[in-house]
Amino acid sequence: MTVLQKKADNPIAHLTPEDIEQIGIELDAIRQDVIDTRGARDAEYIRKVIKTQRTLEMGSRAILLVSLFPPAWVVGTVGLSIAKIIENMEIGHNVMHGQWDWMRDPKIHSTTWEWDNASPSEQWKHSHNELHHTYTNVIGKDNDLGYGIMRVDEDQRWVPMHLGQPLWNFLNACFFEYGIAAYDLELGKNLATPERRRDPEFRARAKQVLRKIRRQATKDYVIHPILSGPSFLHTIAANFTANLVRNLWTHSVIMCGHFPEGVETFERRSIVGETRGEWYLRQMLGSANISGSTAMHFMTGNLSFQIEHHLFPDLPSNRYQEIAPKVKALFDKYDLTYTTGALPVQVGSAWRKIIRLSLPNDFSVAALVRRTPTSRAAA
Amino acid sequence: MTTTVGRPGTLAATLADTEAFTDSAVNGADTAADTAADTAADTAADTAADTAADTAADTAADTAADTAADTAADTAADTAADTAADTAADTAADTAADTAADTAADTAADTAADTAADTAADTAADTAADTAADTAADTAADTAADTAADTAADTAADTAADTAADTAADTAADTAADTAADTAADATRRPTLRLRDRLVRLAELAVTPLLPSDFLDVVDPLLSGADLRGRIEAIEPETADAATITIRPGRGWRGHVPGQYVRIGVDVDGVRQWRAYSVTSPADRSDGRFTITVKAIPDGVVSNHLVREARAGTVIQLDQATGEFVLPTPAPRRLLFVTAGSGITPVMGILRSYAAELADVVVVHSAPSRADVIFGADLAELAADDRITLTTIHTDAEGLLDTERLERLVPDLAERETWACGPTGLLDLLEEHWAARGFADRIHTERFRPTIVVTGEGGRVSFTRSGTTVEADGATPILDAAEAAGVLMPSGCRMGICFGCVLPLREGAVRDLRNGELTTAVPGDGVRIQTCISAAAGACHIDH
Repeated sequence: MTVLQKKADNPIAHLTPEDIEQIGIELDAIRQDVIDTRGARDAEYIRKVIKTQRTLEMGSRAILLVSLFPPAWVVGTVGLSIAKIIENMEIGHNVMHGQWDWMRDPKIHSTTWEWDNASPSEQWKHSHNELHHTYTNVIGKDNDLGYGIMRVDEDQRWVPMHLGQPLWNFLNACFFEYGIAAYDLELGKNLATPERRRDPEFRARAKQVLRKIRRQATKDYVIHPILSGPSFLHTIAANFTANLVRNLWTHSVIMCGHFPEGVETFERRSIVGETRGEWYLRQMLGSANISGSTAMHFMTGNLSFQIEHHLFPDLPSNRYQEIAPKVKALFDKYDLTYTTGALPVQVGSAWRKIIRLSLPNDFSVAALVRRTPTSRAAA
Repeated sequence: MTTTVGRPGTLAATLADTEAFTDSAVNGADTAADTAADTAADTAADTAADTAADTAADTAADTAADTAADTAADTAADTAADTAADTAADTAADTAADTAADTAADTAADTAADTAADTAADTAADTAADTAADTAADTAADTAADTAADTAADTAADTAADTAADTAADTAADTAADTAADTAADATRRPTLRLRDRLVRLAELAVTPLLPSDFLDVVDPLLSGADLRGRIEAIEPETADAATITIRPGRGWRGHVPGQYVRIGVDVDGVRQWRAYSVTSPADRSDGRFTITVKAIPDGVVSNHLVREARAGTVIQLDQATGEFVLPTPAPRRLLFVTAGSGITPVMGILRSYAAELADVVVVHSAPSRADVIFGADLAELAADDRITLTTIHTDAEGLLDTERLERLVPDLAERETWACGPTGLLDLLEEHWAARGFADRIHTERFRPTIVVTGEGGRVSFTRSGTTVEADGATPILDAAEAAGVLMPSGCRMGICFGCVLPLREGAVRDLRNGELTTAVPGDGVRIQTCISAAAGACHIDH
């Protein structure tokens, strides 16, 4: 893959500026449909999800008080892993996007929500909502493209450090919440020079992150283990496992959003003076969905509807599935590629890309042979 | 009747209440910083004292200490560095004083700690909070306390002052908590309270980043400790468009004084809407319930929902009862109530509570027709029992009440203390008349404020905290207009997707520039709006 603007067969060459603005108008209409029908049913949905998640978390942690017994350990760990995934994905991520702000409930609001994650919500909202969602897939502007440690596009310059990126990516997956926290802090950039390291604003944010991590760790690795008495070590192991499972799962889902083959990237210059229609188009081409069951969609926080989410990041997540057919129809109407695939396929695709791009673009004939047909197919 | 009151005092109270929005937030893990700083040292002591196991005590105490430091740092960094420093330093001082008291070196400790506190406070005001934390003068107050106990007063004071000079606010808090933990074994005051605090603190650590109340909500939304809520138990029609709603309040309800109103938050079509209604039940109701009586007004989102849609069993949000439309103690001997429409509701609350004790009560009530009189039967009964002298005016047939007619109906009006509640027109008329006759201080009014906000294109946007006022047109985002006028605004994507620019609209109307949708707010609402895609649609007050 290479930035869309440099491609020989540009996938949007057939669209006129009028077409692009028309796409924007049609997407606005889809958005308005949801807003017009948003109401008690949706409010009931999110409250039910939150209540279920909290009940599951309380129940799992209660069971883990006797985690000395293997069945309790297994049940509690599975329950807590699921609870943590729901909390991060369907609840936390989406609440922080402001998807539920319209309810005017201070307890379910983007300005007040704090999630079960190492990254403080305030910093996450900046790096994710503001930077990633505004500059989606723009090389040099969207740090989600490889999180600053990996090369996920041919147009990103190769350096020898990239040789290790399959390993970095695996480690990042295992400790994803800390990876996110480091990423939100722009640790790579801010630790680079003494001036940046001493910057009071950076230090304040770093302290905020450390405080959050300390609280999270105290909860999972001190308080609940102590409450478990003789099951102290078993509960530590259970909580560690739940965090690991949650990290691996969220990392996989998020990799599927923008890394699989078929997703387009964009040049920095291409977004100068971008219209709303053009912004929409970039979101359409820069995201990929995951196909699967309702349960799978729920466990991804409906990020399996990444395209719909990127078009309308503030619409309630329970509505993405509902509007997906309309969005797909719009792709078809304008002859655009709606990138989607089953979870294992998309995860595999993203991993393949990470492994391939750990080597320079012109590394070997074999790599070239493998890449050429893929990018054609994507186009 | 959305009786948000025009009286400045109560209005201010209402506004103050709505600021709880942020404070009561689920995830505001860092609660009001000063409170936390105040209690942190105590909590550390509590936790330490509680635990037999040393590990547990240490960890908990450390965490509490860290929290104290964090909170102080937050406060210092955010708004009031000096306040945080003062608070933290005071705590240090107190703790140091306690330690010293135990070892009979009161004076030394006081001096040492005070000096440490002062110096720390001064330094904190000048330094960034996080730098202070890193320099970690755990030694500072430890030294202060220890030295105070062990050596002469002078040495203690000097050492503390010298060491503390290098430190700042949050380290003082850190130290305060450490010291508190050290001396925890001696702490025996108020054991019950301490146990409760300990448990609360433990629960907080166990559920972070949420609050224990978030989990209580799952169990039962009416438990004490949860936010104040109520459950609708019955809805009974009074007239064709009014109904009395019986509410069972949660455990934190403190009751009401007859004549007061209560703000309730109701979810209509999934959207939380706050309105105020007068309490109509007597104050001494034995079952702990209270009632409000709601009249559905045209286009009234909440009133129509409550009268026609709401069902028993629904949980609503509650605020404590408030308002100054109440009788003084002792009550005046001769009273006059002038009411119109649903203006009878606070008066009914008063009459139901006090009718037996009041000697001479005249009620003049207006309603469009007989069928529209809320509490018609109750009023007739009170009149039949000679509790009140009642005149009911049916304005459809007889026209609106004027002062001439009122003077005729109540010849001794000048000798009566008067309470009036109804539409603005009536109240203005009465107040003018009372003023003209020279006894303006003898009329008390409760104003109904219509919730209909006048909307237009553009308007004057005032920022309540910075005091800036901006004239904004109907096509310019409030964010842009404010920035052009030099207001430092939070902002992010500037296209309505990141929610980084959200601020509370206290009062007024804005239009979503993407789809033209109007959002309105009346005092008490505090609706969060995205300033980057909202233009003024009338005068707006924004909390910033």
